[in-house]
Amino acid sequence: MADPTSEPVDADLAVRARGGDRDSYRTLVERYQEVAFRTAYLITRSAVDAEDAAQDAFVKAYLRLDRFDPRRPFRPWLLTIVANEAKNRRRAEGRRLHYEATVARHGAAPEATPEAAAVLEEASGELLAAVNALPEPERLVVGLRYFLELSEAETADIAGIPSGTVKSRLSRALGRLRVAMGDPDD
Amino acid sequence: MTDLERALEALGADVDFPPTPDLAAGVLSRLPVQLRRRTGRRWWWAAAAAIVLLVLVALPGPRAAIADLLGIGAVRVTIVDAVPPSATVRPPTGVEVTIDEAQAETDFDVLEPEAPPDAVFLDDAVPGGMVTLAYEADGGGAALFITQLTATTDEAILGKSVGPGTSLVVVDVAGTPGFWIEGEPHVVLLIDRGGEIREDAARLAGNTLIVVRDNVTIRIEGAVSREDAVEIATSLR
Repeated sequence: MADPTSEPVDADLAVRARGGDRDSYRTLVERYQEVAFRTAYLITRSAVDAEDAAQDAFVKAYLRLDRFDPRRPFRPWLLTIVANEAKNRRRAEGRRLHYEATVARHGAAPEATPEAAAVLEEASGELLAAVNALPEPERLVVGLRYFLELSEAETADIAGIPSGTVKSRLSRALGRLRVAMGDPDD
Repeated sequence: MTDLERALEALGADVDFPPTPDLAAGVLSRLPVQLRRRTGRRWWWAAAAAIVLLVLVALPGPRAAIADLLGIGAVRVTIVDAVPPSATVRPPTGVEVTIDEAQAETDFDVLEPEAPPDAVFLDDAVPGGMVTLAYEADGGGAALFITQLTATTDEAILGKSVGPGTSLVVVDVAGTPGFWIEGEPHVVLLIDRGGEIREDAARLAGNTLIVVRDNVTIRIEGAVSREDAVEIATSLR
């Protein structure tokens, strides 16, 4: 991972981009395109729609840079715009949000025995199946909060619900997952 | 964070998302061309260092006496106690033309910023011609006017009445002194060849930078900060 001190910080890039420096904005796009695309994908459940939503969101964010407060973090501000674009593209008869994973790749530490790796892989598979069995709203906040590792506040902004509702949804989801994994006391 | 939450985050690394497309090229190609301000960044410091040779804010008595000193290019600034109530915000004078027509009809080379203007106005009642490049704001309406003319103060072409709520400072624009007028709207009067004040041209103006380059008086007016105005002035070619 690059030394963070050698990278220009978001606020500086945003301020420079606001002054017309397109290279600075390019850096911001490259830095956040993955989380923006994945956020849009969790909402639209279509790679094509997610790409359109993310691209439109980056263009709109640029046009609104004068309203961005550089003292506040850039990512939540951007992702809120992404989420709005994605919601506009969500089709009435959209696909269900269903996670798939290639668990074997990282399922176990390199030094783990084949048996341990197999156990971990199975556990990951069960956990994934349990997440997919969650009611839709809980599945979304679990994806945003844990798979994309967004903050509670970001999750709230993107899902368009209060922070308290994120907390209660996550808590309910974790409870269901514990039951599904046969570990209600965790 | 509980073991379950850690397990979910670990699982997140394995979740199959569609490959992230490269968005940068597509996004960059869709960004509007802006007035280039990048090269002006160092100007900000130069201007900040050289600023405030002169500030006139709500000076009661001696303002009228000072007023005669405040001529720059084709502009004469008058300090007044109150701006005339009849002045309104209105578009620049002249007729709308293309930039090529403006170049052909004026006695000077009209300077242009990198971004093409949304509209160009030519007022040929002004000696030598007066050209205004207009830029629209995102949400419609005018964001910026860049006005250019070659008439001199002797011809007293543009009169500006600056009231108590407005400050006037001298700023450094690429080594040339300029006037920066900021604060409450001030009045711009157009005085024509015969020395008559053209009532139809009296208008309220926002923040304004005035500088003279190669005998062309350049007036940049709009919802811009002082440093942006200086940078725009510096970028004109």
